[in-house]
Amino acid sequence: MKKDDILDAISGIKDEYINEAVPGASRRKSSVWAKAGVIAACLCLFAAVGFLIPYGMNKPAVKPPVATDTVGSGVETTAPATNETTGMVEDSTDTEDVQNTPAIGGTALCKVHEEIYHMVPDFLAELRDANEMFEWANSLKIDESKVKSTTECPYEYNIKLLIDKFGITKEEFVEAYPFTSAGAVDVDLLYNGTAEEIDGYYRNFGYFSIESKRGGHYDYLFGEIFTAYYDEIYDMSKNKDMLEYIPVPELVVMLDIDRDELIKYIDLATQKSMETHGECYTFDYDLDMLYGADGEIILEIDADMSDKDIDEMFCRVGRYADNDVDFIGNSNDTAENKPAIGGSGHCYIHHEIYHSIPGWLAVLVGEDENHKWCQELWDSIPDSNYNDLESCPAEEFNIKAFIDHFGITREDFESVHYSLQYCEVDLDVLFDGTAAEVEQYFRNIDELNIYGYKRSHYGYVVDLIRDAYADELDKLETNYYHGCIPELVVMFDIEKGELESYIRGATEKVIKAYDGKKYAFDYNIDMLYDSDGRVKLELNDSVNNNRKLRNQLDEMFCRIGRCADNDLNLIDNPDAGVKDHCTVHHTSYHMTPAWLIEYIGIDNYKEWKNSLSADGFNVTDGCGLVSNIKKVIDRFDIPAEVFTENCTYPLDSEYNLNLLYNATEDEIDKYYRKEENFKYNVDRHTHHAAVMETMWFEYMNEFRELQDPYSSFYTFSIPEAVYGLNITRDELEEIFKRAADNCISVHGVCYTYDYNLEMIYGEDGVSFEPLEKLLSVNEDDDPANDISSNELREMFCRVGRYAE
Amino acid sequence: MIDSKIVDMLWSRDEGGISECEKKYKKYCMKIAYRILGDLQDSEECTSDTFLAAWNTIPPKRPENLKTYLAKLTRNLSLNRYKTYTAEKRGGGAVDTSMEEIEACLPSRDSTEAVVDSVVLTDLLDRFLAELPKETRIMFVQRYWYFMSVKGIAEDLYLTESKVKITLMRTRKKLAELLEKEGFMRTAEWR
Repeated sequence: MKKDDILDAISGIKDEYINEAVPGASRRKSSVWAKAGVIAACLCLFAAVGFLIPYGMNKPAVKPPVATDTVGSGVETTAPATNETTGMVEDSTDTEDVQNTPAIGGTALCKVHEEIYHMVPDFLAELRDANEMFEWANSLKIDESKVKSTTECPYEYNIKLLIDKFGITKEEFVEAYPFTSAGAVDVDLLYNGTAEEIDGYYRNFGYFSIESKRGGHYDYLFGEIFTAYYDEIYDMSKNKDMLEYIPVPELVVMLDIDRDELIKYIDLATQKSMETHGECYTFDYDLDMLYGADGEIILEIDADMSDKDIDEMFCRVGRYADNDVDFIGNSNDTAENKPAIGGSGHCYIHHEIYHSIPGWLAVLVGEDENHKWCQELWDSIPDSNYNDLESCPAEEFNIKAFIDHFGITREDFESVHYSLQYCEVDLDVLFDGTAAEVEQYFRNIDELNIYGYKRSHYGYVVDLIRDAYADELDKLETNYYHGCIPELVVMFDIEKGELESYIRGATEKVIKAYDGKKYAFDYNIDMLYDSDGRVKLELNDSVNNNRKLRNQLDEMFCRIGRCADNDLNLIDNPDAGVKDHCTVHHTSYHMTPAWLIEYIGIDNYKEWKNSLSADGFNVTDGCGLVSNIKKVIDRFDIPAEVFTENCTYPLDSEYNLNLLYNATEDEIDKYYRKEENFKYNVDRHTHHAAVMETMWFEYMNEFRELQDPYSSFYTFSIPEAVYGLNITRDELEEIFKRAADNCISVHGVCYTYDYNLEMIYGEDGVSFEPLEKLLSVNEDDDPANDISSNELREMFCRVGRYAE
Repeated sequence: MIDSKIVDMLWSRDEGGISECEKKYKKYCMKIAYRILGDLQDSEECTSDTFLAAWNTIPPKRPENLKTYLAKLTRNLSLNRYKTYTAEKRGGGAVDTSMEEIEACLPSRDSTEAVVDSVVLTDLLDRFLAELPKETRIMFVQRYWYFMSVKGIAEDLYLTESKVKITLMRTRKKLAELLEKEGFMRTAEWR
């Protein structure tokens, strides 16, 4: 094999990979949905320490797979399983057989539980015979009918069963589980709760969405340091195949990272989290345990301390705010365990948003400033406040105070927030009201919650759409995590009736969830569809990755209130649907091929085209285009021979010349309206092209000699190629088969022309007697009379009139 | 203008489609060509050829993704030109460097060369890429499809150069192992 072979092969890789890697493209793939955020954070988190072993592999693993890309590279780094046969990393997409889907954490298949519930963590696998563990786990069933269901779990396997089956004690578990799983495992519950309680616990995405996200930030922090000191850390590691996990404080000491540098990495981690998830939760890192007043490193690590101890001290996980490892193991939720920033859980007077500083908002002021402000206020709150359930324990700590303190303008606020996620809040009150008015406003918990319920309805609709279009979403060139219904409708061309069925489905779920109440936004369906129920909304590129515009779309669609006016800035053509478009004819009806324009003369053609006016043209039945091929033929008096001489058969086989030249305008119009008249043409073209491609790959060098070196396209026909390359009938039939396989693998179907092999081969399938006869039909040596590639192609494919 | 509209214009032989293509994608195509050819004038010519090729091929083709379609055209045209120049011993761009890296994971020259079935090889590469972590895949494609420099990739992905180098090295190694396993290589030698 030569480098050219690889070069050529790389040239043909899938479009999605080329598009995904466009240089300079923004890598900001934000994740609106908490679930997605949690999953990504967890994957990243777990991959970093390489402790997860995906469950669901068909065969038992010989050894636990490791994180091949190791740590620190970001969200997408996972701990993939290795296929023993191919050595390739297992594909975790849904296209595989369910049993073969490793589905890190099961999240690809289970939409109701937190991922760790369906995992076999390697910290547990190491406690027993790992192979036996995997074999057992893999022997449990996955219910295909429940895959991706948002209400039912497809897995029989769960971590509780694993613990019971292998008799892992609580002590063993506590000893083994690493710091980075903090927040993902409630050991007490795991060992003392009932199966139902544990199941319920792992359904609590809300809880994990905070805890795991903090762990995710820590992992990003580790990743930033790891990336910056890759060589050094690699050298430090004893096992070069699976790098060891080293707590950040230890890295700080070993790599002599000063305070400013560490803060830089923390900021980068925050930035990465924001870019990846659109929000950021962090631990309250204890820099003071690392650095003295003048910035020198003061930490001395006790040899007896475990990695977990060090991490917990540094991160001050929840209740471990003080640098005292004695606190470890104390799970009592007392006043000392002040809740972390981001949701009160301790105030029963105000809606929780009042005491929350969302990650996306904190970013506006910077991590340090945010922490400083929060910490000062938090520290000033007397512990006794938490005992009084009748009053607010943290009056000073609220969103209004934060906004005022940092002088955040409404414009800034709106540039970063997710309006649907924040639609509970009336921004007019928040920004124009006094502190007292805002405080009073947030006492209306029930009223504010209604928006949350409505948001749930919206979320259910999105879930149903995502379930219905899961495969298409998976195939998207860019990761689409946004749950913007108008965008999804446009993306998948979801008809009005279909959307309405999703809305009804969501309503049923809401009724179930909220005791019969039908909470939903007053969706503005008319902004999406024309009078015939077809999608009329057209979105321009600016919507992509633009949170503000997506917010506007959501607000327009949901009519949340404050943004009820349709701001049409983001819509290319609000009236799109019929005018200037045609939704009823086959495309070729309105298409004038290049060779025909050339025949007419570009200036003549343009002049005529410009003279056509839509005035008086009735746009009534879905066709808004004035010109068509029949009009062109009539206007310029095109003889049928021009088609037969210039059509690039089989590509132009949509033209039914008998009809175009002998039928009435109405008949032609009707013909082009029938989808079935054109149904398989594109597929046949595809197979024809695939045959040429296959021959090109098979006979690359010889093919190049036939081909114009500066052309990416083939000017010769299959019969000529076959003749030039001396391909036998058997070989050609094999090429047809491979091309068909290729078409099926890509498109799922394959239609072919009725290829006329008899015009090429003699009875032995080797000689080219019939073709040679055709080629030498011209006895007068006048090249003009030679049979053209086009004619050969048309005869070979038996397009239209050559069907026999 | 959105891509589908540009394709519609090209499809209906509206020359405005070419202008829109140029307006939107000239810079993008220029970058692809320049990385391969390393010459501004050649790259401009290749980019112009790209739009001409798009005009000549739409219809009958109707690309679903115009951007990638143009990228492929540009790359093919640039590589063709590059190969001609290489034959004429004129200097090339980043292709040589990238390909030398790939070549390093192929068998040594004196080993028996297998006949390569490129369709299968492309298919294998697609599978290989599908199973790489996304970031690694982007790195690989940027290096060997877009012919970007290691530094450029590092900047694009917010990574250090060493991280990119090592990841690429590991990925090439993985690819070589796979190629060997699938019978594309008789021997795998590492330099």
